[in-house]
Amino acid sequence: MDAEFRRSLPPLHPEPHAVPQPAGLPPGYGHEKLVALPRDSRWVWLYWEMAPAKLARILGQGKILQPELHLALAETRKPVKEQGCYLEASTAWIEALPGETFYVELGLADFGRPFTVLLRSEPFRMPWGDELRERTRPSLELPDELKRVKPPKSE
Amino acid sequence: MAGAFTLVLSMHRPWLGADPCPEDEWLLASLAGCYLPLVDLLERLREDGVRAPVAVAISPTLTAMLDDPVRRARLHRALADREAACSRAPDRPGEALSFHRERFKAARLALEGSACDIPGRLRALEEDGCIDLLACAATNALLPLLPQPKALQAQLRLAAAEHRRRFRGAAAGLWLPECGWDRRVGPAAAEAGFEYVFLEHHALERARPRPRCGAYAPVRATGGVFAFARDPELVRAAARLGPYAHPDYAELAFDVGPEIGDGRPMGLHTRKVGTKGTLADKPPYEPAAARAAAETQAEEFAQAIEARAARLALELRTRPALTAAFEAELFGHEWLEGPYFLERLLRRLAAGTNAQPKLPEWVLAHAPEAEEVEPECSTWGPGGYLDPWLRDENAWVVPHAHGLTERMLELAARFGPKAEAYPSPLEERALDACARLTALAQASDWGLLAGSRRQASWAGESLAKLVSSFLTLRGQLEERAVDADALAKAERASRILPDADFRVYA
Repeated sequence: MDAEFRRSLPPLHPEPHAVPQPAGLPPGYGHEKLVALPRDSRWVWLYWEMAPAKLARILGQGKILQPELHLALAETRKPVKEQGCYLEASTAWIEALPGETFYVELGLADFGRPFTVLLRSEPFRMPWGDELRERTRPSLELPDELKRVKPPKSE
Repeated sequence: MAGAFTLVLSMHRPWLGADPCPEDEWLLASLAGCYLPLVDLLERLREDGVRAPVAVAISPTLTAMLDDPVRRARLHRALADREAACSRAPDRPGEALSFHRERFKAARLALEGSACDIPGRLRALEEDGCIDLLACAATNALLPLLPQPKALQAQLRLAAAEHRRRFRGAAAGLWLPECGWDRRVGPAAAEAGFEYVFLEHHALERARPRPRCGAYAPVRATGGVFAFARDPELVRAAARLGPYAHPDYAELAFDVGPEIGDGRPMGLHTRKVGTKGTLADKPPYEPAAARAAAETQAEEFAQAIEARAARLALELRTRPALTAAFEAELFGHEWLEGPYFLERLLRRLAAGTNAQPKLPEWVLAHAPEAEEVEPECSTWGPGGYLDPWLRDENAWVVPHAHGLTERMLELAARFGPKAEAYPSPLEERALDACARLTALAQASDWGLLAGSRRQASWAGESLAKLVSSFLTLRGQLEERAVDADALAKAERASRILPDADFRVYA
């Protein structure tokens, strides 16, 4: 294989879409979790598992709750990105910065109330990519064009 | 001597399960085209007194499949069928059928005798100092994709134990599947007793601090293991080699098998690549001309390596260590003329002085003191990290490997050495089978195959079988009612790592 490091391209479908899985595989393994796996220096693949009863309860509340993913710097716990997601999809992509350590929270945003965290990932470090090779430390804020939902909350 | 050249070849095939499947063809093609010719050529070099040592990794998955007498009988039948098809076909001049008949016959005869004991022949070569046998992660798991530290540790402990069992000695070197590295791998490798590993070049080019010689000298990496890196320029140069690098090479897309055999491809490539035209217009394959072309390209590649070593020696003011690591299957399976290329390359480099083939231990003994660095996460996959395994079409594989691992960790905690529940002999067997099924589900192959158009459904079904066997046994273990039939079925589906002890997950 040729492993030339190339500038990271976005995933084909940054928004979740159904990928048919072979029959005979279980939908889950009974452990609530949010797992974050850096695909390259920019993109992180996330998957989560939630107890079906809990998921049904959340979805059936009738309130307008927006499921969101919050990307935060592990060192300072400072959120740097918020992004909507689909709870039932169980997977999502999120864009982060090379060379920094983050964690992700999956939760529910309720207008005017604090964000309710459902699941939190382990911290993960993004590898360096070519584009930021010369930088010793990235900016703590994502560039504006990468903030797709709303700007980070101030502490 | 200007520099040292270390060639690393990794032999591995995906787990094919117990039952016959069309994918058995991979093993047959690799055995006849690559493994046997490769070991033959290494033995010829030994007999001719050519000092051209090579580091070789053979995965436990592959050795387990080669050991299986039922599978060997199937391979034997398939090879005999191919020979018969070659003999039955009308004698069309220049179609190279006799060339293919001879190579399938050689493989069939090897299966009848001891020549097919690839691991045994490799062990003898190592005893004679002709190769360095590397251990390979137990089931070719892509280690950065295993979030649980115990799972990573288990892959490497099982690898070390299997290598000791199979080759009657400990391995100093470890082949990391897909050159997969993150900061947890070094400590786990050291803990399992390994001394050195091989990484993709950007792991050292982006290491902190960046080593003075970049990818051209081994470094002491996180955890204390030494790390060699693939030479980026050789990677680029090698990418220009391969089955379509010369018009005289066999056209792999043309297979006369469906026409003269049972309708399936048989690896009977009787046309050459040529320079233009459709498949039907391709000129007949001439094995002697193809061999000559491969040997000429090997000469040119050797000259390029030597020139590069000389230039690097001047630039770095030290003896550079050039490392070239490939999947062994490139030579003979994916590129029919690959073994000719390899043999000429090794003979040519051994006769020269600028980049003599050396084993990793020689390089470590003769290199300046290794710098301590933290290599960057990396794989040798396109993109340099986890892109080939984390795509929309194949990332769904990952949660199943993780899910089984979590369940296995629970079982090991419940029945392991510190637990109160002591397993009965039947339960002990079931737990060991679960450990093997878990390790098999972690293989990097499932993700790669699930991402390919042709093998996606087979990969999914294979993974589903492993998962289903595991969950059945787990349920029975939870209820402490292991069914002997279910256990026998699971053991048959996971006949690998015979000494695996589930406590490796405890």
